[in-house]
Amino acid sequence: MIVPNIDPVPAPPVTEPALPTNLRLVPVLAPLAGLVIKGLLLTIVTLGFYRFWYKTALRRYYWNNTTLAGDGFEYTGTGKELFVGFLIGIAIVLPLYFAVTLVSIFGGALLGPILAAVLTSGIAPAVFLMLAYRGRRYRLARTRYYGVRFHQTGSGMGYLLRTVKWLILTALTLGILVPYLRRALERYKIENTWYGSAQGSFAAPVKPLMKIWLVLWFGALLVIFLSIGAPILYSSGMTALGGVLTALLPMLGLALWGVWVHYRVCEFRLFLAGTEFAGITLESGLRTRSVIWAQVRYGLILLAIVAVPIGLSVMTALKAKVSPAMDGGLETFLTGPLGGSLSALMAFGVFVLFALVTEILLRRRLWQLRAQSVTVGNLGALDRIIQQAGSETGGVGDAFDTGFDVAG
Amino acid sequence: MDQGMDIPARYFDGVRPVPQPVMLRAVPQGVEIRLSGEVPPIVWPFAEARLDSLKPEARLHRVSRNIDTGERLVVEAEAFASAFAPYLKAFGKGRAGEASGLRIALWTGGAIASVVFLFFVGLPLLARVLAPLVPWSWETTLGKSVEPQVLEMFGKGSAVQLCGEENSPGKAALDAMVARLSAGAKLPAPVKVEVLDTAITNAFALPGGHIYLFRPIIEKAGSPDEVAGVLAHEIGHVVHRDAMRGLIHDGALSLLIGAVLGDVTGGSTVTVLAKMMAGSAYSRENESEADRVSVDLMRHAGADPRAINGFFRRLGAGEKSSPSILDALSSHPVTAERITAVEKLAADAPQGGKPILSASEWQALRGICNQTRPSPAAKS
Repeated sequence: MIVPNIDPVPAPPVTEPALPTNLRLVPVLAPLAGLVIKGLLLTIVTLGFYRFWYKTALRRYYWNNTTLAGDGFEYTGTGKELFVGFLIGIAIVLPLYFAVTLVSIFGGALLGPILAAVLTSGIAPAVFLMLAYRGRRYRLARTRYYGVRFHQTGSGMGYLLRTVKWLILTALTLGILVPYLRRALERYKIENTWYGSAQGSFAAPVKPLMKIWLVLWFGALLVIFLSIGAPILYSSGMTALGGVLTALLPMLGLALWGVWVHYRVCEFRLFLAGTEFAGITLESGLRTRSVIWAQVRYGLILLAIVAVPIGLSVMTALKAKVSPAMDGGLETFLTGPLGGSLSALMAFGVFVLFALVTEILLRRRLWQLRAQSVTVGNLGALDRIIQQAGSETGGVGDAFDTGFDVAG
Repeated sequence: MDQGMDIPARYFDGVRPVPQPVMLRAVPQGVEIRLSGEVPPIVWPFAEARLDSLKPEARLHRVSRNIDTGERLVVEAEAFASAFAPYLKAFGKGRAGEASGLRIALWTGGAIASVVFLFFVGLPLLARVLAPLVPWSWETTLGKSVEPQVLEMFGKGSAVQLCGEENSPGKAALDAMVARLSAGAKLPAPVKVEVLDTAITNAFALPGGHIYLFRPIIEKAGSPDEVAGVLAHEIGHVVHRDAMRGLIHDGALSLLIGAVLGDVTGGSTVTVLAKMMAGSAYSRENESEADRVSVDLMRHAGADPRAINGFFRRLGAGEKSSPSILDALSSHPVTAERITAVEKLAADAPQGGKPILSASEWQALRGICNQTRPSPAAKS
């Protein structure tokens, strides 16, 4: 069994009060670095095949370390299931890929590109959306708390149809209805989520979100105007005003990013507050500030990591320019055979460091912030929930949620 | 046997999400769980009891017939250790639905082996078998659709010019050479050969049997047979339908790499590198095969099959040759291996055969680029 050795972190002694009603999700921070390094190395050595077990180990880490009332959640999925699910996923993607290739080569000058576009930007995203929904079904079916399993009903097709309906409405309103789209999809997901015999219910207001969304919407409009307007001002001689507008663009972009983070945080709080399982309520006090700070810190540290090798190579280049006659030293070392392999090693080190920092400072930090912010109410209602027999859904074939990283 | 001591634990029955206080005891058959009240104790056979962690608390789950029953036990770490230490080896291993470490290693090894096999044997074979099955008319259509872009690529800003007016003596000499070489070739359709007015030394065959020689091939050649050797090599690509093979090979290759690495778009660095490696190994094999055809056609036409080597050496003389990593990645390297292979194939050919063109024809061919004309395929 490929369970990484996670060193225990001294946890506060579990006190057992007489059925508390308000409990918090408290993530225990166990060392993640070993798991990530081992997973990356094995993934590289095995030409990528280990990634299913690595992903499983990561999920097990996150689930297990998210605890409620002293007991952690459990991820019971396995690498083997992800691997088999991936093979099934390939069987679906393969014909699609072939169709695109054949159509674009032999479809004729006019029809070929049109058909290929329909396939790549219409049918392919639809298939991936359905696969993603089924992937969620797999993850839920492999999640347990207090020994009782979650599961998901509904279908990928149902999810797809709702998405298409709301995409059309959103497009007709030039994107103003995006919060409605997101709420509709969240509702479909939550109402089809079960914990044992308890079905999720969902009721969240969209008005508070609309306010933030409109700020974003008008901000985006302003960005479009500015990026069209600045060159026009330049060409008509008003260079000063054009320059000011151009300088304003990146600042505006940064501000809009902040508003977007704020939107997501508010959405998280509202959607969570609107979710209920058999009387068990959820609430989150997540704050935009902490999320933004986590991301900024992550970005700064990434910059620092990249700065070291870039700085070294710039230094070498400068030295070569200033004193071309100077023999030896860093520059010959860096360009020599030993230096070459050292540079490769350094590049590899930077790659691993990147992955490490992303996992620990971004993913885990955001997971931790979200988990810590959640308060669970009326946990006593667990009494009324039982594991439903025969609700074993989410077989191996649903494990599509792996392998296809669209961004590479 | 000693019945062991009783230790307290939290038990979840897998049906209700409620912790139940129980007493545990190690018995020879397994873990005995005694619930409060007058119910008979539950026993987890050791093989069904799976240990998730020992610290900070011991956590166990139960797997029966490879199905997770949902039953859980949480025990204080020290108490568990003192009661169950002698039995730790007897506990079952792994989650339901997971394979053993050895099997995973074997699978991964098998998967890597089959991918490597596909890379170097399967895909070339696939391309070889499928290419002849594609109708020639499809290939011609495909060639026509890429031609304008290719011509544009080699021209400076505008589409490149073709050498020789129709019916000029240069063009006639070229056509004569093509006819003499084609006589011995099993071609799917007659080839069309043109000379491109560019400064780069190159030659290629498009899908659909359209061959382009570049001007320097004729300028640098020492004899008509050297030009004919290069041309016969390109005819070899058409005979083998290498353009179609290449398309099939590339498509299948990106698919395979995408599948292995889980990268559908094919944009990641690793994907591109892997493609270059496998692609160049494959195309080098094709080059050697085209060389073989070149030797055959030259022999059939009564010309000197070794002449192509003379041309290769002429090219190599101008450049300093140092072996580098790039050779492994280059798709068209003229290597010592290729030259030796041609020597071997042409070993029994008589020295200094009759040149493929007469002296006057050769003179005319050398002057083919004195007049140029726009390509009909080029976009205006």
